Amino acid sequence: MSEFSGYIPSHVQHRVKHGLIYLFLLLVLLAVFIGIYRGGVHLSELEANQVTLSELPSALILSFFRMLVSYTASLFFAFFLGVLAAKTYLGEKFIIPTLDVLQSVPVIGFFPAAITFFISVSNGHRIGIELAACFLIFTSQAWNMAFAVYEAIKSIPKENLDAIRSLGVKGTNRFWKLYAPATIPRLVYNSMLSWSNGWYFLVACEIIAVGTIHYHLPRIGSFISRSAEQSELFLVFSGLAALTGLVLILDFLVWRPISIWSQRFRQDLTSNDDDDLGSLGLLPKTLISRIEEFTPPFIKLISVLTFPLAWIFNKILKPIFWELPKHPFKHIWKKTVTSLFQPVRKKLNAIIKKYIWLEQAVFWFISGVLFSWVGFIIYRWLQPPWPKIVKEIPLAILASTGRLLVAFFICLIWIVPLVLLCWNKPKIRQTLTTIAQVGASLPAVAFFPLIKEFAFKNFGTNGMELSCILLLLTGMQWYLLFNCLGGTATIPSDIKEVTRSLGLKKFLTWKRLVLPAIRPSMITGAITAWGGGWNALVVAEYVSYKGNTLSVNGIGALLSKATYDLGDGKAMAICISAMIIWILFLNLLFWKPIYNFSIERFKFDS
Amino acid sequence: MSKSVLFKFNQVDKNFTLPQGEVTVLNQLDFSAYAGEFIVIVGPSGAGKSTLLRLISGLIRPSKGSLIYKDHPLDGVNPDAAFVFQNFALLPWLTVFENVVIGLEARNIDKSVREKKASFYINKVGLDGYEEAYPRELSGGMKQRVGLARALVIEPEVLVMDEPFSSLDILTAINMRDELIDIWKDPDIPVNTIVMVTHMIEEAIELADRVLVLTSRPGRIAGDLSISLQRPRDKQAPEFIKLVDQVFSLLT
Repeated sequence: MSEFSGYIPSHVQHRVKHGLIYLFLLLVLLAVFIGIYRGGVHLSELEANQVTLSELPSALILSFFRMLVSYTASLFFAFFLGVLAAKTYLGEKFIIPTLDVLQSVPVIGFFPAAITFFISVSNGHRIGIELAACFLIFTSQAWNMAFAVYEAIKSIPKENLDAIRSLGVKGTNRFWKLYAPATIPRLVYNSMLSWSNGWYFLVACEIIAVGTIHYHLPRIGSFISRSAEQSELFLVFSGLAALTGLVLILDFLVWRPISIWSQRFRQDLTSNDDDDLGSLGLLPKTLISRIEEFTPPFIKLISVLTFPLAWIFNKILKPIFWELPKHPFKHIWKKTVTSLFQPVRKKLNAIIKKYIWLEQAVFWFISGVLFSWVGFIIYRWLQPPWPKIVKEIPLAILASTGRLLVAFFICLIWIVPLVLLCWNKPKIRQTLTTIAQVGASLPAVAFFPLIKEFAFKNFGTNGMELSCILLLLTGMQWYLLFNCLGGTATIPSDIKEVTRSLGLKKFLTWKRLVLPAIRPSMITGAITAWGGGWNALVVAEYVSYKGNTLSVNGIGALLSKATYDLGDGKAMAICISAMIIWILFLNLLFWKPIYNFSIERFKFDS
Repeated sequence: MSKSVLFKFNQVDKNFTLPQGEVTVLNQLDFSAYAGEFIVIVGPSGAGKSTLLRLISGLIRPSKGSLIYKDHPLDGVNPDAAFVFQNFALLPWLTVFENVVIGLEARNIDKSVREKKASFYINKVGLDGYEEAYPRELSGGMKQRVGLARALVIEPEVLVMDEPFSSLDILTAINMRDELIDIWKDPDIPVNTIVMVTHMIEEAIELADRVLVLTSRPGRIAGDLSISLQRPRDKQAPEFIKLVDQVFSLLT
C-alpha cells in the first residue's frame, strides 16, 4: 500500500459530513410527518382486521423505516460513547463494563417494560409503541457498535497515533483523519451484525403480544403473524418472501460492497488475503468488483433523492447558521470562552496529573453512589409481599436452561459433523458460509408463526414444547454454523499439508487438527448462539394461537405472564433481574473461563 | 555412495488456475535425483520452488509429464517423504512429544515403539527435557527442531525442506545448518536424501551436493551444479566464492 491507508480525502469528508446531515434531516422530517399523521391515532382504533396483500408494500416500507431511524440513532450513540470510552479514563471505567453487561442481556425481556413506559408517556397513543419498538431495536444495535468504535480506536497502532501527533494534527481534524477512518472496518462489520439483530428485534416486537389487546401495527412482522393466525398461508409466504428479499437485497447491494470498501481503512498493513473476499461466498469476484463500481451510483442516487433537502439547506439554512464563524461576534465569543476556560482546564489537567488518585476517587465515588442506588432499588423490590410468581422462578430458569441445552445439542449434532465433512472443501464451505450468513441475517422470529402453525397442526397443544425448541433452534443454529466454518478457514495451509504429508487418516485428522482448530470459534459461536437463544426464549415460551395463549414452564413464559396476564410491575422486574443475574452468572463462571482457556491453548500463532 | 535413482521428473509441467487465468509455475522439468544426495534448489520468488517440493511429497500432482518415484509413478501422498516447513507448522495444542509422534500414530505403530522412536529423535535434535512443553513456549530454533524431529521420526527416505531456516535468526540458522549436516551423516538415522529449497545462494553452496537453479515464472532448470567441496566448507575460500558467483550469474 503506497499511501497512508486510513486517510479520507477532504472532499469526501465534506460530502460524508453533509450527506449525513441531509440524511438525518430527511429522517427527522419524515419522522415528524409520520408522527403528526399517525401518532394521533388511538390504540383502540387499531383493532386487527382481515389481512390483505395490499398491506404488504407499506408494511415493508414502514418496517424498514423503523430500522433506519434506530440504526441512525445507534450510529450516533456508538460514536459518542465509543470515543468517550476510548479517550477518557472515567468513560472507560464506566462505559465498557456497562456495555459488556448490556450486551449479554436479553433485550427482548425489556420490551414489555419499555412498551409500558412509552405508552404511559405518550398517553396511550400509537407513537408510544413506535418509540418502544425503536428503543428496543436501538438496544439491540447500539452496544455492539459502541464496542466497535471503542476497540477500533484502542487498537490504532501506536506508530500511526504518534505520527499524527508529531505532525500536530489536533481536534476534529484528528478525528476525521485518524479516528473516524480507523473505526470504519470494525464499525462496518459490527453494523452488519447490528443490522441483522435489528431485523430480529423489529420483527419480534411486531409479533409480540401486548396485554390482552394485540397492538397490531401495519408492519411486516404483524403482517406475517396475523396472516398465520388467519391461516392465510399464501400471505404468510408472501410476507416472508418480501422480508427475505429486502434483507438479501440490502445485504448484497449495500452491506457487502460497503464491507469490501471498509477494508481499505484497515490500520495494519498486512496484505489482504484473498480469503477475505472469499468469505463473501456465492458472489464471484468479478461480480464483487462490479458491485464496487456500482456503489458510487448508489451513493449518487441517495444524493439525488436528498437533493431538494440539500438545496433548502444550502440556500436557506446555511446562510443563517453556517456563515456564523465569519461573524466577528463568534470570534469574541470564542476568545472569551478560551480565555475563561483555558486556565481552568490547564489547572484541572495539572491537578489530575498530580493526583491520579483523584480520578480513582471520583470513580469509586460515582460507582458507590450508583451501586447503592441500584442496591436500594433491589432492596425495595425484595420487600415482601412478594408476588406469587417469585416462587416459580428457580424452576422456570432451570427449565429454560434445559430447553436451551436441548436446542444447543441439536445444533451441535448437525453442525459439527457437517463442518468435519466439508472443512477441506473450500467450495462447499463457502456456499455453506453464505447460507449461514444469510440465515443469521434473516430474522428467525419471522418464521415463528409458521413453525407454530406446523407444530400445533400436527401435534395439537402438545406441540408447544416442540415448537418452543424449534423456535430456539432457529435463533441459535446459524451463529454456531457460521463461526465453526469460520474456524476451519483459519487453519494455515502448511498445517493442512503437514497432516496430509504425514499420512493422517480422516479420524486422526479430525481428532488432532480440525476439532481443536475450530474450538475457539465454536465457543464464540456457542456464546452468540446462547445469547440469541435467551432472546428467542421470551418470544418462544409464550405464544398466542387462535385467540388462546399457550405457554410452557420457563422464565420467558413467566416474564410474559407477569407482564400480560398480571400486569404486575414488581413481578416483571423480579423476573427480568433473576434472568439477567443467571445469564451473567453463566457468562462469568462458565463461558468466560472456557473462552479464555481455548483462546490461549487453541489458537494458531506459534 | 551408490548412484541409484530415487526419483525422476519426466518433462513435468505444473499449472495453477488463478483468478487472472491459468499460470504455468513449473515448465518442462526434467531431472533425476539419486539416493543419498543432498539437493538444494535455489531460485527467485515465484520460481515454483515450493511447488517442486510439494510434487515430490505427493501433495500435488503434475499437470503434465510424470514423476517416477523408485520405478513407479507417484500417485497420491508419498509415504516415504517427510516435509519440514518454513513456519514450522506445529499444532499449537499438542505438546512437543505429541507433535513428534503424530506421524507414527497415523501409521498405527505400537505405542511402546512410538514412544521409543519419538524419544530417540527428540534426543537427536537436542530437545530432551522439553517433551511436555507446548510449541508456544519454545524459541524459533527449538520449534524448527520439533518440526525436524516430527519429520525424521517416520524414518523417511527423503527429507523435503521448504526454506527451513528462513524464519530463524542468523546465529540459530548457522547452528541448525551444522546440525542438519550431522543428522544427514549420522549412521543411526536412516534418512540420507534431502531436497531443500532456499533463496540464499550461500546456504545452498554450503550444504548441497548438488544445486539446481530455477528461473522465475515459469520455473525452468537454468543450471545443475554439483558441489564437491570438502565439508565443513569455508565461505571465504575462493572456490566457494566462485561457485556463489556462478549461481548468481545463472539467476540473473
